[in-house]
Amino acid sequence: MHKGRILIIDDDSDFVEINRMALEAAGYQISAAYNGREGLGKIQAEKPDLILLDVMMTTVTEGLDLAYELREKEEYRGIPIFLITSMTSAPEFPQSFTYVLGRDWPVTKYFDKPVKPAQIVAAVGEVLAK
Amino acid sequence: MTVARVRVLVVDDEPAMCRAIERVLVKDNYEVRSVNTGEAAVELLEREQFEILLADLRMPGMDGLTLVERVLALDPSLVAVVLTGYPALDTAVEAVKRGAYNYIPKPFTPNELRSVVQRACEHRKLQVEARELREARAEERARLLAVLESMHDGVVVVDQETRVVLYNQAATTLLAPGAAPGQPLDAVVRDPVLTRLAGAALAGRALAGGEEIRLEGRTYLAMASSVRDHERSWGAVLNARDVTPLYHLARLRANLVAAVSHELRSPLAAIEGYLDVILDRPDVDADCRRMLERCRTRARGLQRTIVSLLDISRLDDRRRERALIETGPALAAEVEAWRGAAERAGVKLEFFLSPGLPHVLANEADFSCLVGNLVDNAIKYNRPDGRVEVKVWPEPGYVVMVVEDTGMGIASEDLPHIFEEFYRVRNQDTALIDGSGLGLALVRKVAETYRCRLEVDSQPGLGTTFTVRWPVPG
Repeated sequence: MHKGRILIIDDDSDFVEINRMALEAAGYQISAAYNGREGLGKIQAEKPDLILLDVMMTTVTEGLDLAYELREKEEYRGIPIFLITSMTSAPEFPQSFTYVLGRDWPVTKYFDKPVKPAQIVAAVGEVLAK
Repeated sequence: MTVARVRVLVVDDEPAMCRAIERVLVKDNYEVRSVNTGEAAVELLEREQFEILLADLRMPGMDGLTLVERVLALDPSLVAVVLTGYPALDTAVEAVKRGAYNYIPKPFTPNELRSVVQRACEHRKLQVEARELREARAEERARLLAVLESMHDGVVVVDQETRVVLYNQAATTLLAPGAAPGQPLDAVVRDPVLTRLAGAALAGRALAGGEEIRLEGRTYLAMASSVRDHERSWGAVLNARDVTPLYHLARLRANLVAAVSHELRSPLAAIEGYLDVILDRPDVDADCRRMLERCRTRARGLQRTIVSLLDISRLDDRRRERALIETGPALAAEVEAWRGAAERAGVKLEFFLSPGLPHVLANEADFSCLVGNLVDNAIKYNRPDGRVEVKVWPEPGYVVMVVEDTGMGIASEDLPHIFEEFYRVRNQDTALIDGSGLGLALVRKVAETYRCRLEVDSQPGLGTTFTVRWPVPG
């Protein structure tokens, strides 16, 4: 029996693997997508309990585009999203996401790369335990 | 030694008069030639050089007046004296007006002749000297201007009131078209930085290192210094060198360092991440765990090195923003950020703040980089149960910051090198301490950027004290 389904969307395969191993070791079921389109497909198919989303993938707006799609469908509303930023992404990204998803989106957390897998595991545990 | 004798040409239609004059002057050691017509005199003067001309006014053919005019046109340095054979003072005065030096009314005594010719000689000598001086001055000025014009650097000279005195061809790119001497500098410069530099130089404040200005896609390094003449300043000279290629090179280097650093960071973050996951597993045996932990420590050290490299290349960018920083709170925050590290190392971190600290003008990241690296070192190179004291107090013109530790100290042979990039003290004590060799290089670079005075005092086995005197604006 797993503790929850988590979708990691990031074009950085190392980030995906590291967090997959850490989260699996903590008892979660993990699936991964390496771009926004693939990510949306998996969200539709797998209905994850939580999403780890890199804001900047191959194209700068790929993460943001996905956020627009999520907002459109009532069934996705409320999936906790952890946004992963890095020093190469624009500093206004968090605000853009808050704007797109709306302030009332239940859980949005921001992590700046490099982020320790243990930190992610702890934060996931906190959110999904509720 | 033979002195060239003064050559005198006598022109008189009376051969007896010519001979009489010749006799007197030859005795006085003049070299004398005589002819009987104006035409013959002109012909001779076209071929030979004479210093003094004695010409009768009334002659058949070309008269004396016409002759004087003709020969002075041939040789302006010739000194002409006219002889008037009858009371025709008007004609003699006319001759003087047309350029003759003097006249002698006939009849005259040998002494009168001698006296006039002697004065004519002196007159000629003075004239020659004056002309030579004039020519020498003009030549010197022309040479200086030619040097100025041939320079690649733009040069603008201003007077005490900051009005343009002169500028060279290369400086035309710095000034408005048609800028003319006498105009105020601020009315004609295309970048106000130049006026500021000139003002500083006139006020006796030379700005070392100069200022960069950008005009039409080119970058210039402009400097100014006061112009002194016998210890008195009468103006300032600005020079601006086109450093565009250098500037591009520096930018390229900074961009390259930034690009390479970013490329290095992501794989390194991946390595660190995998190690984190492995080390979080309970089933790793003790030996492997120790080695993997060492791997992770080294990877983290490498991350810090890369961040330091980025910081160093960032410091090369002169356009970074500066703001007034509240010294006390900024320092306190920076020290607090290191409290965790100090506790882990078993080092007591203490902070002493004096009241009345002035603000400093700096880029916030630079300020924290300097303080952070000093505190980091003081903790790292300390001993268990050691102490780090950070103290700050005001001094006229400076904020003094001191970071003092009770660590291993630095040997005197290492002291001169510790601020070099990638220099690390290697010994048994430091073998297991992770350092990039860039921390103190960064400290030095920040100190240089802000013209801080940086001092280090160390006693091996007892500890090290770094003192930074950060200049206060105004």
